[in-house]
Amino acid sequence: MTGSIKVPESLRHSRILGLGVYRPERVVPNAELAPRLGLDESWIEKRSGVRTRRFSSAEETLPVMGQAAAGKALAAAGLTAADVGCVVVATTSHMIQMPSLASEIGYALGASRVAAFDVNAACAGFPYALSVASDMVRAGTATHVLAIGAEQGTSLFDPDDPATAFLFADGAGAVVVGPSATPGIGPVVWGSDGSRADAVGMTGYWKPALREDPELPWPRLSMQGWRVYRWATTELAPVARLAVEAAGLTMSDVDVFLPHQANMLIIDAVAKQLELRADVIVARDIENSGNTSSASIPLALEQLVASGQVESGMTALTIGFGSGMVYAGQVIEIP
Amino acid sequence: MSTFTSEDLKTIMLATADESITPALDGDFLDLSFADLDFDSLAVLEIATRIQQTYHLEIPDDAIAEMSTPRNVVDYISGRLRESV
Repeated sequence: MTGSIKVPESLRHSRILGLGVYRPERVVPNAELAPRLGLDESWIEKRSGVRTRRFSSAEETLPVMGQAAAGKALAAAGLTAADVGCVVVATTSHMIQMPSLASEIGYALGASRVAAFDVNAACAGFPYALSVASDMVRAGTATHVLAIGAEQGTSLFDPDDPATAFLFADGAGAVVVGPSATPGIGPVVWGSDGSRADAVGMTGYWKPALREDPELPWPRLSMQGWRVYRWATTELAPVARLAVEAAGLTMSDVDVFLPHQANMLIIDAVAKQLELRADVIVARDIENSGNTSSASIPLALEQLVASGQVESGMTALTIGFGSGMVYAGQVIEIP
Repeated sequence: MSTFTSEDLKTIMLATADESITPALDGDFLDLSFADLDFDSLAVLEIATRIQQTYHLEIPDDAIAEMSTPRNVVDYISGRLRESV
Protein backbone atom coordinates (compact mmCIF):
# COMPACT_ATOMS: atom_id res chain seq x y z
CA MET A 1 0.00 0.00 0.00
CA THR A 2 1.49 3.28 -1.09
CA GLY A 3 -0.98 5.71 0.50
CA SER A 4 -3.63 5.87 3.19
CA ILE A 5 -7.31 6.43 2.52
CA LYS A 6 -8.48 9.87 3.59
CA VAL A 7 -11.88 10.36 5.26
CA PRO A 8 -13.50 13.28 7.09
CA GLU A 9 -11.92 13.53 10.53
CA SER A 10 -15.06 13.85 12.61
CA LEU A 11 -18.82 13.88 12.36
CA ARG A 12 -20.65 17.19 12.13
CA HIS A 13 -24.21 17.97 13.22
CA SER A 14 -27.25 17.94 10.93
CA ARG A 15 -30.69 19.47 10.92
CA ILE A 16 -33.71 20.06 8.73
CA LEU A 17 -33.14 23.34 6.86
CA GLY A 18 -36.37 23.51 4.88
CA LEU A 19 -39.73 21.79 4.46
CA GLY A 20 -42.10 21.65 1.49
CA VAL A 21 -45.17 19.62 0.56
CA TYR A 22 -47.51 18.96 -2.31
CA ARG A 23 -51.17 18.17 -1.69
CA PRO A 24 -53.19 17.06 -4.74
CA GLU A 25 -55.93 19.46 -5.80
CA ARG A 26 -58.89 17.13 -5.46
CA VAL A 27 -60.40 16.80 -1.98
CA VAL A 28 -62.40 13.60 -1.54
CA PRO A 29 -64.88 13.47 1.35
CA ASN A 30 -66.07 10.25 3.00
CA ALA A 31 -69.47 10.74 1.37
CA GLU A 32 -67.92 10.10 -2.04
CA LEU A 33 -66.38 6.77 -1.05
CA ALA A 34 -68.75 5.30 1.53
CA PRO A 35 -71.57 4.02 -0.73
CA ARG A 36 -69.25 2.09 -3.06
CA LEU A 37 -67.53 0.48 -0.06
CA GLY A 38 -70.79 -0.38 1.72
CA LEU A 39 -69.70 1.70 4.71
CA ASP A 40 -71.28 4.52 6.71
CA GLU A 41 -69.53 7.89 6.51
CA SER A 42 -69.71 8.07 10.29
CA TRP A 43 -68.06 4.64 10.67
CA ILE A 44 -65.13 5.74 8.49
CA GLU A 45 -64.56 8.83 10.60
CA LYS A 46 -65.03 7.04 13.91
CA ARG A 47 -62.74 4.11 13.07
CA SER A 48 -60.00 5.96 11.17
CA GLY A 49 -60.31 9.67 11.94
CA VAL A 50 -60.36 10.46 8.22
CA ARG A 51 -62.88 13.10 7.09
CA THR A 52 -61.34 14.02 3.74
CA ARG A 53 -58.29 12.98 1.75
CA ARG A 54 -56.60 14.06 -1.49
CA PHE A 55 -56.53 11.93 -4.65
CA SER A 56 -54.11 12.91 -7.42
CA SER A 57 -55.13 13.55 -11.03
CA ALA A 58 -53.45 12.05 -14.10
CA GLU A 59 -51.22 15.13 -14.25
CA GLU A 60 -50.26 14.93 -10.58
CA THR A 61 -47.78 12.09 -10.97
CA LEU A 62 -45.28 11.00 -8.33
CA PRO A 63 -42.40 12.91 -9.98
CA VAL A 64 -44.59 16.02 -10.31
CA MET A 65 -45.70 15.90 -6.66
CA GLY A 66 -42.21 15.03 -5.43
CA GLN A 67 -40.57 17.77 -7.46
CA ALA A 68 -43.09 20.35 -6.25
CA ALA A 69 -42.52 19.42 -2.60
CA ALA A 70 -38.74 19.36 -3.05
CA GLY A 71 -38.71 22.73 -4.81
CA LYS A 72 -40.58 24.30 -1.89
CA ALA A 73 -38.24 22.68 0.64
CA LEU A 74 -35.19 24.05 -1.22
CA ALA A 75 -36.74 27.52 -1.40
CA ALA A 76 -37.52 27.40 2.33
CA ALA A 77 -33.87 26.50 2.99
CA GLY A 78 -32.64 29.29 0.72
CA LEU A 79 -30.94 26.75 -1.54
CA THR A 80 -31.14 25.64 -5.16
CA ALA A 81 -30.95 22.25 -6.84
CA ALA A 82 -27.26 22.87 -7.50
CA ASP A 83 -26.64 22.68 -3.76
CA VAL A 84 -28.07 19.17 -3.42
CA GLY A 85 -25.61 16.29 -3.09
CA CYS A 86 -28.11 13.45 -2.94
CA VAL A 87 -31.84 12.85 -3.41
CA VAL A 88 -33.40 10.10 -1.28
CA VAL A 89 -37.03 9.28 -1.97
CA ALA A 90 -39.14 7.11 0.30
CA THR A 91 -41.95 5.57 -1.70
CA THR A 92 -43.92 2.34 -1.87
CA SER A 93 -46.18 3.28 -4.75
CA HIS A 94 -43.73 4.02 -7.57
CA MET A 95 -45.15 1.42 -9.95
CA ILE A 96 -41.98 0.81 -11.93
CA GLN A 97 -38.79 -0.99 -10.93
CA MET A 98 -36.45 1.48 -12.65
CA PRO A 99 -35.42 4.20 -13.02
CA SER A 100 -35.80 5.32 -9.43
CA LEU A 101 -38.25 8.08 -8.55
CA ALA A 102 -35.32 9.90 -6.92
CA SER A 103 -33.42 10.12 -10.21
CA GLU A 104 -36.55 11.41 -11.98
CA ILE A 105 -37.12 14.07 -9.33
CA GLY A 106 -33.44 15.07 -9.31
CA TYR A 107 -33.51 15.50 -13.07
CA ALA A 108 -36.78 17.43 -12.97
CA LEU A 109 -35.30 19.77 -10.37
CA GLY A 110 -32.35 20.49 -12.65
CA ALA A 111 -29.86 18.50 -10.58
CA SER A 112 -29.28 16.08 -13.40
CA ARG A 113 -26.07 14.58 -12.03
CA VAL A 114 -27.09 14.31 -8.39
CA ALA A 115 -26.73 11.02 -6.49
CA ALA A 116 -30.24 9.57 -6.23
CA PHE A 117 -31.96 6.47 -4.90
CA ASP A 118 -35.29 5.26 -3.50
CA VAL A 119 -35.99 3.73 -0.11
CA ASN A 120 -38.82 1.26 0.41
CA ALA A 121 -39.71 1.16 4.08
CA ALA A 122 -43.47 1.34 3.51
CA CYS A 123 -45.16 3.80 5.87
CA ALA A 124 -41.91 4.16 7.85
CA GLY A 125 -40.21 5.44 4.70
CA PHE A 126 -39.81 9.06 5.69
CA PRO A 127 -37.99 8.49 9.00
CA TYR A 128 -35.77 5.93 7.25
CA ALA A 129 -34.91 8.44 4.49
CA LEU A 130 -34.39 11.21 7.03
CA SER A 131 -32.04 9.06 9.06
CA VAL A 132 -29.99 8.13 5.99
CA ALA A 133 -29.91 11.78 4.89
CA SER A 134 -28.80 12.92 8.32
CA ASP A 135 -26.02 10.34 8.46
CA MET A 136 -24.81 11.38 4.99
CA VAL A 137 -24.59 14.99 6.08
CA ARG A 138 -22.95 14.09 9.38
CA ALA A 139 -20.34 11.87 7.74
CA GLY A 140 -19.57 14.38 5.01
CA THR A 141 -20.85 12.17 2.20
CA ALA A 142 -23.04 15.06 1.07
CA THR A 143 -23.52 18.63 2.27
CA HIS A 144 -27.23 18.94 1.49
CA VAL A 145 -29.59 16.00 1.03
CA LEU A 146 -33.21 16.06 -0.10
CA ALA A 147 -35.28 13.50 1.83
CA ILE A 148 -38.65 13.12 0.14
CA GLY A 149 -41.74 11.02 0.83
CA ALA A 150 -44.01 10.68 -2.20
CA GLU A 151 -46.99 8.37 -2.49
CA GLN A 152 -50.02 7.51 -4.54
CA GLY A 153 -52.05 5.17 -2.39
CA THR A 154 -54.58 5.28 -5.22
CA SER A 155 -52.14 3.23 -7.34
CA LEU A 156 -52.04 0.46 -4.76
CA PHE A 157 -55.46 -0.02 -3.20
CA ASP A 158 -58.49 -1.69 -4.72
CA PRO A 159 -61.20 1.02 -4.95
CA ASP A 160 -63.73 -1.63 -3.87
CA ASP A 161 -61.80 -2.79 -0.78
CA PRO A 162 -63.63 -1.59 2.36
CA ALA A 163 -60.49 -2.22 4.44
CA THR A 164 -58.16 0.17 2.60
CA ALA A 165 -59.91 2.36 0.02
CA PHE A 166 -61.14 4.95 2.56
CA LEU A 167 -57.82 5.12 4.37
CA PHE A 168 -54.96 5.56 1.90
CA ALA A 169 -54.37 8.66 -0.17
CA ASP A 170 -51.87 10.69 -2.19
CA GLY A 171 -49.34 13.44 -1.52
CA ALA A 172 -45.68 14.33 -1.14
CA GLY A 173 -43.47 16.00 1.44
CA ALA A 174 -39.80 16.91 1.37
CA VAL A 175 -37.10 18.25 3.64
CA VAL A 176 -33.59 19.51 2.98
CA VAL A 177 -31.09 18.18 5.50
CA GLY A 178 -27.82 20.04 5.91
CA PRO A 179 -24.98 20.86 8.30
CA SER A 180 -25.74 22.54 11.59
CA ALA A 181 -23.83 24.12 14.45
CA THR A 182 -25.99 22.17 16.91
CA PRO A 183 -27.71 18.75 16.67
CA GLY A 184 -31.11 19.02 14.98
CA ILE A 185 -31.82 15.37 14.21
CA GLY A 186 -31.43 12.77 16.95
CA PRO A 187 -30.22 9.18 16.55
CA VAL A 188 -32.73 6.86 14.86
CA VAL A 189 -34.18 3.89 16.74
CA TRP A 190 -35.39 1.46 14.12
CA GLY A 191 -36.11 -2.15 13.30
CA SER A 192 -38.47 -4.59 11.64
CA ASP A 193 -40.57 -7.66 12.37
CA GLY A 194 -40.75 -9.73 9.20
CA SER A 195 -42.95 -12.33 10.90
CA ARG A 196 -45.92 -9.99 10.55
CA ALA A 197 -46.16 -9.98 6.77
CA ASP A 198 -49.88 -10.77 6.96
CA ALA A 199 -50.77 -7.47 8.66
CA VAL A 200 -50.15 -5.23 5.61
CA GLY A 201 -48.90 -6.32 2.21
CA MET A 202 -50.08 -7.14 -1.26
CA THR A 203 -52.74 -9.58 -2.45
CA GLY A 204 -50.38 -11.35 -4.85
CA TYR A 205 -47.07 -11.41 -6.67
CA TRP A 206 -46.16 -10.15 -10.13
CA LYS A 207 -43.66 -12.97 -10.38
CA PRO A 208 -44.06 -15.84 -10.69
CA ALA A 209 -47.86 -15.87 -10.19
CA LEU A 210 -49.06 -13.09 -12.50
CA ARG A 211 -46.33 -13.71 -15.03
CA GLU A 212 -47.32 -17.35 -15.37
CA ASP A 213 -51.06 -16.69 -15.32
CA PRO A 214 -51.94 -13.25 -16.71
CA GLU A 215 -55.61 -13.94 -15.89
CA LEU A 216 -54.89 -13.57 -12.19
CA PRO A 217 -56.10 -10.36 -10.53
CA TRP A 218 -53.67 -7.46 -10.39
CA PRO A 219 -51.91 -7.42 -6.99
CA ARG A 220 -53.36 -4.80 -4.66
CA LEU A 221 -52.71 -3.46 -1.22
CA SER A 222 -54.18 -5.66 1.50
CA MET A 223 -54.42 -4.88 5.18
CA GLN A 224 -55.84 -6.39 8.31
CA GLY A 225 -56.16 -3.16 10.22
CA TRP A 226 -56.74 -4.76 13.61
CA ARG A 227 -53.40 -6.62 13.34
CA VAL A 228 -51.64 -3.30 12.62
CA TYR A 229 -53.50 -1.60 15.49
CA ARG A 230 -52.59 -4.38 17.92
CA TRP A 231 -48.92 -4.37 16.91
CA ALA A 232 -48.65 -0.59 16.91
CA THR A 233 -50.30 -0.11 20.28
CA THR A 234 -48.00 -2.75 21.78
CA GLU A 235 -44.64 -2.01 20.13
CA LEU A 236 -44.45 1.68 19.24
CA ALA A 237 -44.43 3.42 22.60
CA PRO A 238 -41.28 1.59 23.79
CA VAL A 239 -39.53 2.52 20.51
CA ALA A 240 -40.60 6.16 20.91
CA ARG A 241 -39.25 6.22 24.47
CA LEU A 242 -35.92 4.80 23.25
CA ALA A 243 -35.71 7.48 20.54
CA VAL A 244 -36.16 10.20 23.16
CA GLU A 245 -33.56 8.55 25.39
CA ALA A 246 -31.14 8.18 22.47
CA ALA A 247 -31.39 11.94 21.92
CA GLY A 248 -30.41 12.50 25.55
CA LEU A 249 -33.84 13.90 26.40
CA THR A 250 -36.81 12.94 28.52
CA MET A 251 -40.46 12.78 27.43
CA SER A 252 -41.07 16.10 29.21
CA ASP A 253 -38.70 17.77 26.68
CA VAL A 254 -40.97 16.79 23.77
CA ASP A 255 -43.13 19.67 22.48
CA VAL A 256 -44.67 17.97 19.45
CA PHE A 257 -45.68 14.36 18.77
CA LEU A 258 -45.45 13.68 15.04
CA PRO A 259 -46.32 10.05 14.32
CA HIS A 260 -47.01 8.47 10.94
CA GLN A 261 -50.65 9.28 10.16
CA ALA A 262 -51.89 5.69 9.93
CA ASN A 263 -55.14 5.89 11.84
CA MET A 264 -56.43 8.33 14.47
CA LEU A 265 -57.09 5.46 16.89
CA ILE A 266 -53.40 4.46 16.80
CA ILE A 267 -52.25 8.08 17.12
CA ASP A 268 -54.48 8.63 20.17
CA ALA A 269 -53.57 5.30 21.82
CA VAL A 270 -49.80 5.77 21.43
CA ALA A 271 -49.96 9.43 22.50
CA LYS A 272 -51.76 8.31 25.67
CA GLN A 273 -49.24 5.55 26.36
CA LEU A 274 -46.35 8.01 26.10
CA GLU A 275 -47.77 10.19 28.91
CA LEU A 276 -46.84 13.33 27.00
CA ARG A 277 -46.93 16.77 28.62
CA ALA A 278 -50.49 18.13 28.66
CA ASP A 279 -49.56 20.94 26.25
CA VAL A 280 -47.85 18.72 23.66
CA ILE A 281 -49.13 19.28 20.13
CA VAL A 282 -50.15 15.97 18.53
CA ALA A 283 -50.21 15.82 14.71
CA ARG A 284 -53.64 14.75 13.47
CA ASP A 285 -53.35 15.55 9.77
CA ILE A 286 -54.92 12.17 8.96
CA GLU A 287 -58.25 13.97 9.39
CA ASN A 288 -57.79 15.82 6.10
CA SER A 289 -55.01 13.91 4.36
CA GLY A 290 -55.80 10.25 5.04
CA ASN A 291 -52.89 7.85 5.31
CA THR A 292 -50.26 9.00 2.80
CA SER A 293 -47.70 6.39 3.85
CA SER A 294 -44.13 7.72 3.38
CA ALA A 295 -45.42 11.26 2.86
CA SER A 296 -47.55 11.49 6.02
CA ILE A 297 -44.95 12.82 8.47
CA PRO A 298 -43.74 15.80 6.39
CA LEU A 299 -47.36 16.55 5.37
CA ALA A 300 -48.45 16.48 9.01
CA LEU A 301 -45.51 18.67 10.02
CA GLU A 302 -46.36 21.21 7.34
CA GLN A 303 -49.98 21.30 8.51
CA LEU A 304 -48.82 22.10 12.06
CA VAL A 305 -46.38 24.78 10.86
CA ALA A 306 -48.83 26.37 8.40
CA SER A 307 -51.61 26.53 10.99
CA GLY A 308 -49.26 28.14 13.51
CA GLN A 309 -49.58 25.30 16.00
CA VAL A 310 -45.82 24.73 16.14
CA GLU A 311 -42.83 27.04 15.85
CA SER A 312 -39.29 26.75 14.63
CA GLY A 313 -36.99 25.35 17.29
CA MET A 314 -39.56 23.15 19.02
CA THR A 315 -38.63 19.55 19.77
CA ALA A 316 -40.67 16.93 17.91
CA LEU A 317 -40.79 13.18 18.38
CA THR A 318 -41.41 11.38 15.08
CA ILE A 319 -42.18 7.72 14.60
CA GLY A 320 -43.02 5.85 11.41
CA PHE A 321 -44.23 2.27 11.00
CA GLY A 322 -45.59 0.09 8.26
CA SER A 323 -45.58 -3.08 6.18
CA GLY A 324 -42.87 -5.60 7.12
CA MET A 325 -43.65 -4.09 10.40
CA VAL A 326 -40.73 -1.75 9.92
CA TYR A 327 -40.45 1.18 12.27
CA ALA A 328 -38.18 4.15 12.92
CA GLY A 329 -38.33 6.91 15.50
CA GLN A 330 -36.19 9.96 16.07
CA VAL A 331 -36.30 13.36 17.69
CA ILE A 332 -36.04 16.39 15.41
CA GLU A 333 -35.92 20.13 15.82
CA ILE A 334 -38.75 21.86 13.94
CA PRO A 335 -37.14 23.85 11.08
CA MET B 1 -61.83 -17.81 37.23
CA SER B 2 -61.55 -21.05 35.36
CA THR B 3 -64.71 -21.00 33.31
CA PHE B 4 -65.93 -18.74 30.53
CA THR B 5 -69.60 -18.75 29.59
CA SER B 6 -71.74 -17.03 27.02
CA GLU B 7 -72.94 -14.72 29.83
CA ASP B 8 -69.34 -13.70 30.56
CA LEU B 9 -68.82 -12.90 26.90
CA LYS B 10 -72.10 -10.98 26.74
CA THR B 11 -71.01 -8.80 29.65
CA ILE B 12 -67.73 -8.00 27.89
CA MET B 13 -69.45 -7.36 24.57
CA LEU B 14 -71.90 -4.93 26.15
CA ALA B 15 -69.04 -3.16 27.94
CA THR B 16 -67.06 -2.69 24.71
CA ALA B 17 -69.99 -1.82 22.45
CA ASP B 18 -70.41 1.69 21.13
CA GLU B 19 -72.77 3.64 23.39
CA SER B 20 -74.85 4.70 20.42
CA ILE B 21 -75.56 1.09 19.48
CA THR B 22 -77.24 -1.38 21.78
CA PRO B 23 -76.33 -4.73 20.33
CA ALA B 24 -79.11 -7.31 20.21
CA LEU B 25 -77.53 -9.89 22.46
CA ASP B 26 -80.77 -11.34 23.75
CA GLY B 27 -81.67 -14.85 22.82
CA ASP B 28 -79.42 -16.87 20.61
CA PHE B 29 -76.64 -14.54 19.53
CA LEU B 30 -73.82 -17.06 19.79
CA ASP B 31 -73.87 -18.19 16.18
CA LEU B 32 -74.44 -14.83 14.56
CA SER B 33 -71.36 -13.29 12.99
CA PHE B 34 -69.72 -10.40 14.77
CA ALA B 35 -70.30 -8.36 11.61
CA ASP B 36 -74.06 -9.01 11.83
CA LEU B 37 -73.95 -7.98 15.48
CA ASP B 38 -72.29 -4.66 14.47
CA PHE B 39 -68.93 -5.61 15.96
CA ASP B 40 -66.17 -4.83 13.47
CA SER B 41 -62.69 -6.38 13.57
CA LEU B 42 -61.35 -3.71 15.92
CA ALA B 43 -64.27 -4.38 18.27
CA VAL B 44 -63.46 -8.11 18.26
CA LEU B 45 -59.85 -7.20 19.07
CA GLU B 46 -61.08 -5.11 21.99
CA ILE B 47 -63.14 -8.03 23.28
CA ALA B 48 -60.07 -10.28 23.06
CA THR B 49 -57.91 -7.66 24.79
CA ARG B 50 -60.36 -7.37 27.69
CA ILE B 51 -60.50 -11.15 28.04
CA GLN B 52 -56.70 -11.26 28.08
CA GLN B 53 -56.58 -8.75 30.93
CA THR B 54 -59.39 -10.29 32.95
CA TYR B 55 -58.35 -13.93 32.58
CA HIS B 56 -54.57 -13.39 32.34
CA LEU B 57 -54.28 -15.11 28.98
CA GLU B 58 -52.13 -14.31 25.95
CA ILE B 59 -54.31 -14.61 22.87
CA PRO B 60 -52.25 -14.79 19.65
CA ASP B 61 -53.26 -12.87 16.51
CA ASP B 62 -54.05 -16.07 14.64
CA ALA B 63 -56.58 -17.09 17.30
CA ILE B 64 -58.29 -13.70 17.09
CA ALA B 65 -58.40 -14.02 13.31
CA GLU B 66 -60.50 -17.18 13.77
CA MET B 67 -63.06 -15.48 16.03
CA SER B 68 -65.90 -14.78 13.64
CA THR B 69 -68.82 -15.57 15.99
CA PRO B 70 -69.32 -15.26 19.75
CA ARG B 71 -69.38 -19.06 19.98
CA ASN B 72 -65.85 -19.18 18.53
CA VAL B 73 -64.73 -16.94 21.39
CA VAL B 74 -66.49 -18.94 24.12
CA ASP B 75 -65.10 -22.21 22.76
CA TYR B 76 -61.57 -20.86 22.43
CA ILE B 77 -61.43 -19.19 25.83
CA SER B 78 -63.08 -22.13 27.60
CA GLY B 79 -60.51 -24.45 26.03
CA ARG B 80 -57.62 -22.24 27.06
CA LEU B 81 -58.89 -22.00 30.64
CA ARG B 82 -59.30 -25.79 30.85
CA GLU B 83 -55.72 -26.20 29.62
CA SER B 84 -54.44 -23.83 32.27
CA VAL B 85 -56.14 -25.63 35.20
